[in-house]
Amino acid sequence: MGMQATSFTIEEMTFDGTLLPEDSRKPGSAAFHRAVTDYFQQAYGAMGGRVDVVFAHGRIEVNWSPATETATPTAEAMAAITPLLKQRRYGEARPLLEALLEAEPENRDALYNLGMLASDEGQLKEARELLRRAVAVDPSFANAQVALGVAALRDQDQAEARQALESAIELEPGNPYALRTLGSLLTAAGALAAGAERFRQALAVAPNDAVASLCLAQALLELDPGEHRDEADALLLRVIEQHPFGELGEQAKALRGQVAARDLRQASSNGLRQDAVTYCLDALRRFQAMDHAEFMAVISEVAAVGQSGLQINEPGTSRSLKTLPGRWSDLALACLIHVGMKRITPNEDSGLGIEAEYAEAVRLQAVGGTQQGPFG
Amino acid sequence: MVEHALLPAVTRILQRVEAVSGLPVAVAQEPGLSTLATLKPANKERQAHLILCRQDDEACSYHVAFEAALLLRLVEVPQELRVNLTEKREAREQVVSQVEKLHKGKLPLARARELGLRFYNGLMVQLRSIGPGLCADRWLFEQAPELRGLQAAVLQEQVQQNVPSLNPDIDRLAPAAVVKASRGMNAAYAFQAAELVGLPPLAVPYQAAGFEALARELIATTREQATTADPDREMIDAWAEKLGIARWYTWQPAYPAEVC
Repeated sequence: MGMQATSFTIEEMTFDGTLLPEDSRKPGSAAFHRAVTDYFQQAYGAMGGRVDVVFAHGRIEVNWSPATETATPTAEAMAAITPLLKQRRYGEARPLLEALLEAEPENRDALYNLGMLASDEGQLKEARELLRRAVAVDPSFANAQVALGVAALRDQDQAEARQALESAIELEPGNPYALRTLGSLLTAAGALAAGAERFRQALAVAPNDAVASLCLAQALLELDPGEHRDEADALLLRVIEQHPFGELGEQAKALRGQVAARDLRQASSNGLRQDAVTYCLDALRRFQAMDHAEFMAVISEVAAVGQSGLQINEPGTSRSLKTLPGRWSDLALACLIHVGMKRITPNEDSGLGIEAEYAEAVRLQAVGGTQQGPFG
Repeated sequence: MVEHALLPAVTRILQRVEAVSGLPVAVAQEPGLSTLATLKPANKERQAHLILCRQDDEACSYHVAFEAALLLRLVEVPQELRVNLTEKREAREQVVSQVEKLHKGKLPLARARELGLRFYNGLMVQLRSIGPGLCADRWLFEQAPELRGLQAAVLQEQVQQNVPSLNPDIDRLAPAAVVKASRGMNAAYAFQAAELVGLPPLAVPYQAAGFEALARELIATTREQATTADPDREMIDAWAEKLGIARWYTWQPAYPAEVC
């Protein structure tokens, strides 16, 4: 069977010098670069295809792609440019694309890629011009229509953006990026239901698209937080699971925090949920009585439990912990996490929607509050 | 149950597992699975082994066969000797503390801790699964030649997915011992896959990065004749020694005395 294209990066310092001639083993030297390039040419030689070895900032970037049967000079040029675009090395890709366009002014791929590059660089007028040309050369090029829509949207031209995105969807009804971008355009314009419908269509085609999940959740919560709360929450949980450390995950956590805060406020008559105040007060007392190691053991266990999601408005939930005795509701666990996080990073909010209850518990503790803990 | 018909070779392997273990093996699709497939051996509550597949496609046949091969290795160990690889708290906390230091001032402490736990747990999963997995792949290559086409596609896909772990940026995110051990295991996987698939360039990234000697040592360990009734445990211990993580875990009986 054939081998799939591959690309990887390693440091010059970690390259196995024993694979090179003795006089070429000094990283950074011209001899080293030549010998490393020869090594990769030889290693992939039997597979045919094309090997690109690039040295930059002490690193070796290797790209190997299989031979294509109909490799024209233009296709070969694009094959060399594509890895640069993927690595967002626009400074190197731009002159190559411009040269290609000078030779072939109607090369739709060059127009499209240079348009995308300009759009990413914020050169929006240039981007729109190039992408319009790409669409004119090939009106059935759905990706160029999508890129034109995105560039127009970035340039605040909603009319051209909408037209281009709708054209793209007409050409490719299942183009998830077009559907998602049109959804964003519609929700930004206040057409929340129509936007949500586009996000749903995008997710039907690409169920793992975290951006579409987040956007749909946002739209649903704006549309009717009461009616769509559960669906939005499930979408946000999925985003957090997919991107636990990324910006998307952070946005989803923040939105869940708003949902939780709303739930809590709705559940109480005076604006504060007393059971949460009690749990926070109990957590404050427990943590105060622990040394650092005990505290970290508890907080890491509770945080691990919380990773799988807490149903803080489900009174029936009951869990046990290895580090603390008794049974714990999800709301009590959420309070433990919130109070624990406050102890570690006082200026950060856990996003669990318990900040007001926590503040009240701190106030009560300061005045010597006498509320009973959940197990006291 | 999966709708895509399992290939006859897979059914044959499942029947063999059922014969050795004396319990049925059920195969089901679970789209929400975080891995391509997983194995849930029978226990006190469920008197059947369960193999779950994320997708119901042609490749599913190979994933089921692979999990069945692992299950066969498991059920061949006498029940009273079966053990689970379990975390060692001091080792886990050491990894967490190193991650906290690496990310000091860049990530909130709780987040760094979470990241550290993921690194430690991920490495333990690799240690538990890759060595026995190499044996299972080799066994399937020999016992089920009709699966070789699927196997080649799956192995190549997996090697491709692992390659980004060589990226130098990872060195700034995770402790050196974790990174080195993880890359060493991925290298062993790549070198064996290159051999089974007949595509030596699959292992080139790891050879270039200096992992060939370690990878070949690890593979050699998987080919050694076992001297105990639990070959997987023996192999994992040997791998852990070579990878410098021998004191990072303990073994706990899978079936405590009162359950047996």
